[in-house]
Amino acid sequence: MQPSAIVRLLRRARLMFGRRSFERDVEDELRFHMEMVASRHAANGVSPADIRALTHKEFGSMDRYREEVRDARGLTLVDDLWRDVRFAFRTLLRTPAFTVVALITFALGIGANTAIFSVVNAVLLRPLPYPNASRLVQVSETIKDYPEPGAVSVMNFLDWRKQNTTLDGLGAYYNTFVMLNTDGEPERVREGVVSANVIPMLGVKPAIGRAFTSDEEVKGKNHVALLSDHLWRSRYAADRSLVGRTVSLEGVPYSVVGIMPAGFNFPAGPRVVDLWAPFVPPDQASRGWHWINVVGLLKPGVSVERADQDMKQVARRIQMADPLPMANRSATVMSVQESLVGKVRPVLLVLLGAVFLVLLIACANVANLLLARNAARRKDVAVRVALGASRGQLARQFLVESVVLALIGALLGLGVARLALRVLTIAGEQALPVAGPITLDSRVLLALVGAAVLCGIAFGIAPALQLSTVNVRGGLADLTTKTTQSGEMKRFRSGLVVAQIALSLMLLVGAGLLMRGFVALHGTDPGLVPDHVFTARVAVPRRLLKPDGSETSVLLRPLLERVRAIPGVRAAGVSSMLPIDQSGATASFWVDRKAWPVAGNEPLIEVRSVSPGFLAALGIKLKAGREFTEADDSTGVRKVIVNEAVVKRLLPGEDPIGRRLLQGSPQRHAELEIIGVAADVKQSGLDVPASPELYTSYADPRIDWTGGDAWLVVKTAVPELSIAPQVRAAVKDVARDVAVLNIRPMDEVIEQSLASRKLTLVLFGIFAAVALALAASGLYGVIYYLVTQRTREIGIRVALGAQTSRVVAMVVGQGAILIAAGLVVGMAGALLLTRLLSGMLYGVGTHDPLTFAAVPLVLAAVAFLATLVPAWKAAGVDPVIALREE
Amino acid sequence: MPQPPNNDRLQGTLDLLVLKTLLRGPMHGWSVALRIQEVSRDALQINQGSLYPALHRLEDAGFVRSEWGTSENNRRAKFYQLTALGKKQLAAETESWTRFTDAVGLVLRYA
Repeated sequence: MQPSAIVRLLRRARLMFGRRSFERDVEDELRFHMEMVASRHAANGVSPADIRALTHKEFGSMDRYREEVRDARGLTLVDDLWRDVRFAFRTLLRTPAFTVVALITFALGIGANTAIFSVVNAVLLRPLPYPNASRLVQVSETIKDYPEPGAVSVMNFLDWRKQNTTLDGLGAYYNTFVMLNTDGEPERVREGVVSANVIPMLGVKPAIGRAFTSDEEVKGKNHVALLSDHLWRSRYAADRSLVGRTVSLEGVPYSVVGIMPAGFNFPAGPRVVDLWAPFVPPDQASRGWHWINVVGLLKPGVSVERADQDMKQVARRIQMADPLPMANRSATVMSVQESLVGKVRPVLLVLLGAVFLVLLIACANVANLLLARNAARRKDVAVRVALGASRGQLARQFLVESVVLALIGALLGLGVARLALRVLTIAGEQALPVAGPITLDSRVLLALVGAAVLCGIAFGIAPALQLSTVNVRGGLADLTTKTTQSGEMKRFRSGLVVAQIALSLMLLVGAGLLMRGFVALHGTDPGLVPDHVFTARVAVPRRLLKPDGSETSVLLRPLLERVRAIPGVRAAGVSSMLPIDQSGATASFWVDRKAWPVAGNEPLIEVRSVSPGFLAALGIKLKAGREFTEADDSTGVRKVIVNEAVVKRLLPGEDPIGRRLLQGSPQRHAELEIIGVAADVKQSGLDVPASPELYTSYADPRIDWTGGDAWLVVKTAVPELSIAPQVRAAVKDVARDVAVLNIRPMDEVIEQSLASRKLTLVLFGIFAAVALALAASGLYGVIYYLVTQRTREIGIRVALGAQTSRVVAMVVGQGAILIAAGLVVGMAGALLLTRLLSGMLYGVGTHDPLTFAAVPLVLAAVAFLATLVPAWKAAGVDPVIALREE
Repeated sequence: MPQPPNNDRLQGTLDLLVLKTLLRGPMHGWSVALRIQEVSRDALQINQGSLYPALHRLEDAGFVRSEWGTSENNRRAKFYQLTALGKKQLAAETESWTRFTDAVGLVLRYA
């Protein structure tokens, strides 16, 4: 729009809001003119009576020019619209039943859309809450043939930092937990360990104090901390003097240098970090140990793709200089937002598509309702046409009416959306990587209003066209005789119903497929027995995490002894990672007596450190060899238990017991003796096939594992959660500063791993159910309408002796044609669209025959019922009354 | 920006006359009417009332702006004044009008 046009609109808007004074000004102006004319004539000696005639002759009609002035100012259009709006309200109030049904239908449709759109908005559209969000990238390492980008080794990070040419900075970070044990109760808090440049790269400054400096990335100078606003308020009552004082993190004093602004969180996501400390690269950084995350800031004007190419080149150089640990490894760059939400995007878009179909069905329903009601307004319209209303005016008025209806519906839909969001944020907590709260922000509201107006026009256009073309003679003839509506009308309404049935069939098929996939997933054997298993996280303090493995002898072993003594406990063990919940610690291994492959082609095997009793507690079957004992410690050769996938990959058809796994290179490697074979467990989730995995003994600290918390698993004979107090007591007994966290039954761990699928399924199911209900009511409405149109004809048939069953069959037959048409179209659509679901289905094809057979049957049955009711009504027509009515 | 000259000749002509008259300085509707009548030696018979839609049209387009003031006989009156945009528009309209009348004149003389 040109600037002058905007100025003009603003000028018009000002007039509209100062309408009264504008009108007064016009009156004053015209009166001044009249008085001047009059005084001039009076000066010339004209008599007062002649003056009036003369002025009128010279000036013309006051009324006309008043009108023209309004026109010139663009006020006439506004006046007309306003009149239409008032008229629309009156009309809607006159038919309350229609209005209420239409409003509820539309509010459901648009409310559900608003809720899903606000999730999409919060997750996919809203930029991360950092000033530099658009330039922030995640830099990760990739392994050939592994789809997921992974963690980075410190040496690679340092080389990347030096060699890249496309980034304005590169920083490392990771999350951990630490015990905050000054000033009150010890509290376990989430700690973000970040390079000094990370927070400035985000574009964020501390609210109080300062950020880290680069000389604090050095061992000894790194005991400084930034606190989150939340921790500062909840634990320190927002005391500003805290900055400059020290807090104790597991006994080590850290000086607080600043407080971050409220709402700040890094890394972005639903997990709230409580405090930050500088990242110090370890003295002997290794290239083979991949464990940190890396974030970078693109130089201005540099695209993610260019940075990606740059980083891949750097990775190639590193690989050439140091081929062995970097074989098959490269680097990848993606925007931080993408790395956070990339996985949920397809799910959210499919949900958005599904809920949009619901909206379409709702619109079709409202259109049908409007058409039905308008049938009763034809006479009214014919009268107005006869009295001179133009077709354009009439069409505009009907459109305004449906838009008003849509806007009121949108207002109600807002309530529906708020309610739905409250449920969604609770249900979706584990499934959605949201950086901020999911809110109905201005963008959502704008989309809501826009969608409502579009829908209002969409469902109003057909009724408006239909009514504004009412034939005066035909319409007035209606005053005396009742004729059936045109065939075109019937076809249009039938078309709407066919579309509704087709759309809801597509949704139902989608829901059916998701349901089947979910059931199949639920039915897969996880490889362990989750029943009656208590799990908890034991927060191992840093003071115990020493290279000599003191956490085992000081904490874990005594703890396990006490837990096993609790009545009702059958078996207990600990693991470095809880199966299904956690995975990802892998290393490359080869096997003895076989020629080494090219470096980098050794299989990656997932490593878990476990105690004796772990396999028994989770019911993981031992297929060969033996379990660990406490004697499998740091003496003698290192012992491991492998899963069947390892045997299949490295030792097919051979006896694995006693064979050795090798880790390192052909020249220098560590040897690990296989003492047992365990059944495969779906460690990374039910939908991921079991991968090669080995267990090491928790008493053997020679085998590196990530360290940190231990996960306790306890098989009980009593209800699993009932032992929680005794477990806590046992932990307190062993060490006072150890927390027990995340107490859950193993069943729930599995459930939570399915949370996002469950959410998708539930939402899709709700949409499909709403769609079915709307389609059924739409069908009911149309059949009912057709019956009322034919009351007279049916009456004649009954009078002539037609049997009830014949009348019912006739009406039902009419419905059956619509249903069949809808099913055919819907099946075609479903066959095309279900492929979009392929990524979300497990163990079931996108064209699953059972779903495609059963769903149309269910839909047909419901639709059949919807036609049966009006059919019965038709059968009950009393010929005498039917004929007299006319 | 000056708009392309109005195609609706009758209305456009009135707008042009008003703009030209206002070039002399701020005026109320009555004196605009008087001035047009005087200068045209009463040859242009326009309804005085139609001046007001024209004035409002011009103000809506941003060619003139108005302000309440006091008339010669101490009465409250609304005064109109050309804006910079209005001056440009006047130039463009005059140019178009001249071209039009020249063309018509040529045709009348030689066709």
